[in-house]
Amino acid sequence: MIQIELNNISETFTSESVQVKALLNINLNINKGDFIAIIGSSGSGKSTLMNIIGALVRPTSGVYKLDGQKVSGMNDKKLANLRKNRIGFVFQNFNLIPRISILSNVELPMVYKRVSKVERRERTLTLLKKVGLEGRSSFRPNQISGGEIQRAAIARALANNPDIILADEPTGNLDSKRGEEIMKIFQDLNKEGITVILVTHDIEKARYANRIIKMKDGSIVGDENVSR
Amino acid sequence: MFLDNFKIAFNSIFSNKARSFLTVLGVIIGVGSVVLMLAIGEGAKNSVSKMIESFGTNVIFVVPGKIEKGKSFNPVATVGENTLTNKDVEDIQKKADKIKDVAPISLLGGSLVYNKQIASSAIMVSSTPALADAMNGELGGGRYINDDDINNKSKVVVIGSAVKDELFSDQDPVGKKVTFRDTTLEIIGYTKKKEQNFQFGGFSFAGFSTMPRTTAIDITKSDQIFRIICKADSNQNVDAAVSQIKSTILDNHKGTEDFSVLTQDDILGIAKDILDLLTILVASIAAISLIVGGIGIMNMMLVTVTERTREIGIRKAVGAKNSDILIQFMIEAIVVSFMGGLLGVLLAFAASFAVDRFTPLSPVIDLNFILIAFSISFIVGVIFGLAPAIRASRKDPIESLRYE
Repeated sequence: MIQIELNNISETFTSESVQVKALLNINLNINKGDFIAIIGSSGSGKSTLMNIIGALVRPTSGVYKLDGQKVSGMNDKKLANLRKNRIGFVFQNFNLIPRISILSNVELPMVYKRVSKVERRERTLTLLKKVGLEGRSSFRPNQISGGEIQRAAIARALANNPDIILADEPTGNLDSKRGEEIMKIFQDLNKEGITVILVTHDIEKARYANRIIKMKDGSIVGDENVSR
Repeated sequence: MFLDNFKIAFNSIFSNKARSFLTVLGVIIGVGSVVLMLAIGEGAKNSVSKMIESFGTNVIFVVPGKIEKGKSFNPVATVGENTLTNKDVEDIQKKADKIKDVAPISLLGGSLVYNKQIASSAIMVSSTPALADAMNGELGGGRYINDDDINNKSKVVVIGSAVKDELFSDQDPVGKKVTFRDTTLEIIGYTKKKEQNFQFGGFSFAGFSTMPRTTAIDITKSDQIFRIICKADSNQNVDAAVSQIKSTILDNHKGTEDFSVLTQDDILGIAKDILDLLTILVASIAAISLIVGGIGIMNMMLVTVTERTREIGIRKAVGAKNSDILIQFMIEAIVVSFMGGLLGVLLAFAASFAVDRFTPLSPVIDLNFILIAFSISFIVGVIFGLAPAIRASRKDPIESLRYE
């Protein structure tokens, strides 16, 4: 079943008064429950594509539909609701808020969803257990290791039961052992039915996916299904 | 959600204690000075009320000029050369049977001198023996002016307690000679000292230095009357006495109402109106410093928003709406400002304690002033927090996430 539908998507932005064409007429369909790896060198447009799918940016032109609903053209408020309810982000540099505890970081999406405090607390502890961070809830991000921070970030991404997880170089700042552990978590989440879209330049990590999309200079240059 | 925002705000404010404190200093000083000014005004009002109440509830003042409650009046008309006459005094005495005592009072220009020392605290007036009864006056020693003094134009004076303290300190002044406008006067008594922190222009029996009216007319060649002070025979008859006085003087003045008859309540009302106006004026000047305080908060919030650009990006990525971010930073600004208000109120308490101790003023902090202080600091937070909060809420999520 097609979940994500991109038709003729282009993205242009101006950087230091130079027009940069980040994406050129991208056409891509992604099925629900897929594990996609988008690979390409830096500047190939893979992160931009992920940001469009994640409703962080509106495409300059083209139509993006999520479950048949048109996302391109939504206002800020609707995009925020979409990110809150359907999508979980995992970043290369973790992006946890440093001043607050792991617990507060993980429950952040639930705060914006107006989930009650008791329910929030309960779900956060369950999620932390799921990613192997029991007993770390009161720590601040700078008091735990990089691998642990990224697990906390995954727990945060899962807070509101999203059906899509977007991970941008999630293992880029981790050693290979921690990286493998993180990839296993994504694999487990995908088995639970969550669509996982992984952006990476590491072909080893791309092997966890069932479909690999290769990008270059803002265009898709390869698209293959792989057997795991 | 709301509580979460408070948690975030406190977290942010207390992680930068020094900066937060310096920022709210403006609000602290602004709120503190507004509350202090209001308190001083309230204290002055209390002192004046106490003084006027000490005259007794059945005292009635006849003053030149027309004063109507709730209308602005011309203060010059009540102090200049005027139309109250000796005949008015005599007729009130004769015709107004609800009046017990009538005393004309005149202000005299000139200095009271003892041993080449000028009594700077002297407020020289002339009157008749009835003044002491009409104003519930009490003596600290000696005797008051009597009818013989009036008839004989005796060269005598009853000095005010402040003059006694200034010229004679602990000595008994009775029998001593003082000079007033080249005339030598014998001191026959002095008024009893009244514990009052704030003398409203010295207009009280204890503040007056009084000589017989007839003697004064000889010296000054003027029979001008500044006020006529009457006392009704009972509290119940005050209103009847007022209308008797009014009709008597109206007859004498051929129907022109160029005077006012004021009871203690009327005077209290006028005095409070004037002091309220002054208090508002001074407090408004103090409020200007609140604008400076507000700008400080705006500055800090702009810095905070820039510093936390990445945090804003993260929050937006996990689903925060623009309005969520707006509210978060608004609450932070309001909390900062409110804490400034709180500290400002504490400052005002400390300052009014000091003012009470080291100056003649006795400030009174009313509960309302504290409510005013909190509302002001809330409003300052809203006004000056709005621009930074809007800036935060409009940040682009992707650019914010990339911000280093």
